[in-house]
Amino acid sequence: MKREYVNIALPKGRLGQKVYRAFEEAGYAAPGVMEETRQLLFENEEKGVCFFWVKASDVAIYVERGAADIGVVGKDILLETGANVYELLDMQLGACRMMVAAPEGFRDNTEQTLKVATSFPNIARRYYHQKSRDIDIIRLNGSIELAPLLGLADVIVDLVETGNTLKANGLEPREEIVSVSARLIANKASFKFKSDSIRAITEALSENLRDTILK
Amino acid sequence: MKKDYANLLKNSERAVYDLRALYESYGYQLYRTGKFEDYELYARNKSFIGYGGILTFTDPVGRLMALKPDVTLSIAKNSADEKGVVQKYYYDDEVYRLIPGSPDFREIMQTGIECIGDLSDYDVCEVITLAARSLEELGADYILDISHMGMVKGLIELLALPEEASDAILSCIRNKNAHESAAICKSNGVSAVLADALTAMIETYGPMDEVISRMDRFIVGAQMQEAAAELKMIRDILVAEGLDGRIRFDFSVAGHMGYYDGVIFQGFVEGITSSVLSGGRYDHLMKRMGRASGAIGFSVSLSKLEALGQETRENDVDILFLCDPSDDVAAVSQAVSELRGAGKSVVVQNTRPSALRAGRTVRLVDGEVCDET
Repeated sequence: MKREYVNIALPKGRLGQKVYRAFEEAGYAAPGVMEETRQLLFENEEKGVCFFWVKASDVAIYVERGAADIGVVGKDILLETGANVYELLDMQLGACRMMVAAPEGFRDNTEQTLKVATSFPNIARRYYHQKSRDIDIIRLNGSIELAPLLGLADVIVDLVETGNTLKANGLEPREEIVSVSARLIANKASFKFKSDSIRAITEALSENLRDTILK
Repeated sequence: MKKDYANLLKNSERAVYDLRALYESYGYQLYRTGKFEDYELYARNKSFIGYGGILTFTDPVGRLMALKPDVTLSIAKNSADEKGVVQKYYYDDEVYRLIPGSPDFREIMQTGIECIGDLSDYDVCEVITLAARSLEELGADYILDISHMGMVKGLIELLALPEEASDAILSCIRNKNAHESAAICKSNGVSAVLADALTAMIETYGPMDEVISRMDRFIVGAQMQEAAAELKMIRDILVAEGLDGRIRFDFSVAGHMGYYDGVIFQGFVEGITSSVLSGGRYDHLMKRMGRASGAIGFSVSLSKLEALGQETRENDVDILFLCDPSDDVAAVSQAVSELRGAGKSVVVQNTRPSALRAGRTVRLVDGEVCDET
């Protein structure tokens, strides 16, 4: 990895592919990024950028710690980790909502502690703290929808895109906590020393985004 | 024997002495605060120090004590109000803080200055100059970002939002998050003029003159105008000091609104991935402590200098002296003294430690120092 390059962490997965396309359309492509290869770093010398793929939930850490100068990460991860980074642009990709969902017909009994299953304990905790609601957080790493069906939790806090998975499991969305989409983030120190390059990338992405919306 | 301090001292240790010399040359006096403090001091000013975890223990008479997470509060508490006088202190101490996102504590080596009393414009400029000069001592390439709470607070107060939304706006300013601040303004019915001013302030940063030339895009109200005037005054002094090349105005530097007012700043050194210096004017804290004095200061996190790395020495020691239990102790001792006298470092061992890197390996053969093959 070269110091003078802007190092960019891309989130692995479907969202990451869309994100990379946005970089490509904005004029920041690097050969091999989308190919199945053993290569780990993908450079574009002329543009001075170097891409690499990391697990989506790790992007914020790579950027906060300065291993990547910039990166793209879901707002859900940013809120959950509380990473101390600049949030430069809403890339409006991978749009979904962080929601509270419950079995159809569920009635919140405020006499009891509410059992909440989620992979986002910090977001859930903050949300219910604001509502002064006593909760018991059950942290799960997947198949959150199963928790209310088996009586493990009363409600779930999770990302909802279309609502189809909820519906298929007899759940319904109840309250929206926050809208989520992919955000361009920057390490605060890198931003000082690579300010012009990072600004140029942000502006190019932003312009490309405007063009896409106007189309 | 002449000591090779450049080789002996770690970056952070050298910085302590370099900065000490700098602060003393401006007449600042060393202030030793001790490791412990009444927990009460931090409980009362939790938001000032800005992090949750404090290491506490109960002393023999039952008082709840804390391992200091901060030095500023201790100095501020113990300084006296005296009309026309400014007390100027520097410190180098360890503080104990929770590692963000982890249940573990870390000891952090910190140095800094506090300037407390009847502050004039000169004092404010002197502290900022010292912040820039401190960064100069730490690394060849640095950036000092200067902001002003009058700008940040002035604009947030004009937005007249509920407390929760104001806090969210402050966090957007800190994170250069113009898209979310615009959304908050929209959903709270903020006028387009003020919402645009906020976006412009978030998006304006860079060399001082560049920012000054664009400030009229977001300055609204008397508080912001006063802040702009102070920033211009600071700019003139920094230019005169020849320090303007690496100084930026950046309003994303914003402290807690209940403690900080006036100028606020943050310093970065190339190669370190977070800020190494932070400080500002905290008259509001003094007022909360029932004091008439103004105050401004900054701290430098010397522990972060580790990230700069150090030229690693090729060898741990110049000479490994292998010594047999049957060797004459007096002869070994004399041989070691002679080698050391010739400026070499020598370690005596019975057998070669597996991880040791030595330039030469020797042992005594018939009373003579011979190289081991």
